[in-house]
Amino acid sequence: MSLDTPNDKPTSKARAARKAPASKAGGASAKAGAASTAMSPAQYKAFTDTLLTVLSGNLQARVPAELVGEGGAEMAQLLNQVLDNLAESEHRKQVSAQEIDQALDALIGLVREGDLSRWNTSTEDPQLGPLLEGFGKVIETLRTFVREINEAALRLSSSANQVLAASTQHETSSTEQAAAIHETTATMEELKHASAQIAENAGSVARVAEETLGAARAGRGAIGEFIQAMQQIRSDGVAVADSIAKLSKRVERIGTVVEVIDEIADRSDLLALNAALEGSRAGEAGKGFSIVAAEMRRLAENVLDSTKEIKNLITEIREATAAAAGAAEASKSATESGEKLGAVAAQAVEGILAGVQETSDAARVINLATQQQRTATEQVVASMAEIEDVTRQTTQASKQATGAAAELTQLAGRLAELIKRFKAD
Amino acid sequence: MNDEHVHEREGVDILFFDIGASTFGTDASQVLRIDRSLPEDITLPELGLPHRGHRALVFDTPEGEGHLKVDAVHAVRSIPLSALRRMPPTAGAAPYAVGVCLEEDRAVLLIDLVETARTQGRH
Amino acid sequence: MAPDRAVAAQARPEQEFFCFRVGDLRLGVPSENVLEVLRAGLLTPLPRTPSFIMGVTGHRGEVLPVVDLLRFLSKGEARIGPRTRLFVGITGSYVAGVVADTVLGLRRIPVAEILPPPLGGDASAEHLLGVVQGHGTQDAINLLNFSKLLQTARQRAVAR
Repeated sequence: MSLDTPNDKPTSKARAARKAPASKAGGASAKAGAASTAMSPAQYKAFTDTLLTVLSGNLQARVPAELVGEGGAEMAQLLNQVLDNLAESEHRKQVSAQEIDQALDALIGLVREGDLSRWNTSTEDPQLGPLLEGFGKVIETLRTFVREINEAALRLSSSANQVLAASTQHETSSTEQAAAIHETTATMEELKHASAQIAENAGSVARVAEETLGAARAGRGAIGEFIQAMQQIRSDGVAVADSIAKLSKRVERIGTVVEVIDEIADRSDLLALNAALEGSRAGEAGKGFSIVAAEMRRLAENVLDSTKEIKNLITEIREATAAAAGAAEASKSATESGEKLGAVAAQAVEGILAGVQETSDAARVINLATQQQRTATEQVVASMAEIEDVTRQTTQASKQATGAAAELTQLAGRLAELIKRFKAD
Repeated sequence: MNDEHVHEREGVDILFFDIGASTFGTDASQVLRIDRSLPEDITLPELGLPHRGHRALVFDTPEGEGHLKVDAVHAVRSIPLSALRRMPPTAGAAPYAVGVCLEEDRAVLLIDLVETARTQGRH
Repeated sequence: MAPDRAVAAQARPEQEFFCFRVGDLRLGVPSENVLEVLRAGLLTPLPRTPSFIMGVTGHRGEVLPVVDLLRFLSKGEARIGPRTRLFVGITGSYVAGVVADTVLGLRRIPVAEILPPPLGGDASAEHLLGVVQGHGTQDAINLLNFSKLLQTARQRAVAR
């Protein structure tokens, strides 16, 4: 029992005041009991004082048994019993009120602060019990909700962040892609111009190659004539060399003949000399003989002089033929090298012709190829423009998506923030 | 040279040899053998200097063996007496230049080896 | 025999000379001292001969000493070429070949035209008979006393 616990709350006083009519009714029944029994004034006063004390709010007040004596003992006992009951009842009322207050406080906290954690109200009051139990169930459900929402909000926030990140990245790459495409388009434009330039250059090359072709053909003709001329000179030179060789041989033959003549003249000279000596020894008889011998000697000397002259001539002819042979040899080797050079030149010109032909063909092929390339490039440029357009749209969409994602993230944040206000645990 | 001896045989065996660029002849009977030359062997600068002088004609002298340094030794040929001439004294040649062997238009000097040794000795 | 011919020659108003050139010398030898003219063939050099003996050569089965007059007269040195001549000179029993660059021929020279050798000349003058002037000074010919010359040569060679 909590009867010793003073109840200082104003509310309980007010309620005690409200219970006053009920205690008046009790008083009435006590009056009826007194009427049936005669009482001393002192006894009466004891009853009255007790009742007045109770009425003034002190439910602990009891009729003291010593004051009422034997006549009033029964009455006092009854009244005290009534007062005990009343106090009991009042106490119960107070407990209930306290429990209700607690529940109300919890509900107020829930409503004001979203705090669901404070609910642990219980009662022994059988009437109040089911109500609080109902509340408890509702709050438990709410707690579960809050927990789940909190978790979902967290997940949502995380997902929204991921979406935002992805969206931002997409936007970035989309922008980059747009830049790359723009660049590619520019490059393709340049390529188109370059192709045009190449086509033009190839055209020029083809024209120059045609001109070169003409010149080289003319050169080929000239070289052919040159080679023919060289061959003619060489065959002439060979004939000259042959003639020189023949001449040389004949001159040598003359030389040997002259040697023989020389030898004969020399011997004649000696013979004539010795004959003259013989004649001299023969005295007058040999005189005529000596004259003949002297004449013979003179002839021999003339012959020797002539052969000397011939020898000089032969030497000159030898020198001249040697020089001519040298010249012919030089001419031969010159014409040979001329022919070789001509052949080399002809080969070179053939090479040039082939090369120029190839160049011309190649230039034409390049021209054609660059034209095709230009067409292709133009198509690529057009396609790139389309892609650029699409990319721009994509970028735009990405931006929107990013905005939405950002908003979503914000919302998720707010939701999380809101749900945080509900304290489930 | 022994005139009586060569008359009997109607010819003389002559050994031909070279010193430097020239060819000489000597009575083959004077030559004991042909040997490798030695540094101290006789040379006759009047006949020309030997090119290499790898050979020596070895002959007998009253003082012993004589060695004449020569370049090449040709065959020994029998030369008819009619082709041999004594050296004319008017030429005033060295005593070892005893004669000449006439072959066509060529005259080969004949050397008396024993005289060369004597000449060398006088030097 | 030779002195007889010489006497006979002196009796005649002219004398025949075998004239030739060797080096820068134009010389004449009495024709009776000349047997024959040859080509200078191969010479065989001899050891230790006097320098004017160029060597020996074979001729008609004889061995001839070959004399260089240029060296003998101290007028230079003879050279043997393809046209060089060799005349066979004789005096008494002494025969020798003499080198001549060119044979000028046999000349009959009037004795009156033979001038005595110049006085105060060099040592070669002792072998000269005299000098005969030609058409110009270049044509002057020194006439040799060939017998004396050969004898001197012989003495010089043998005396060694």
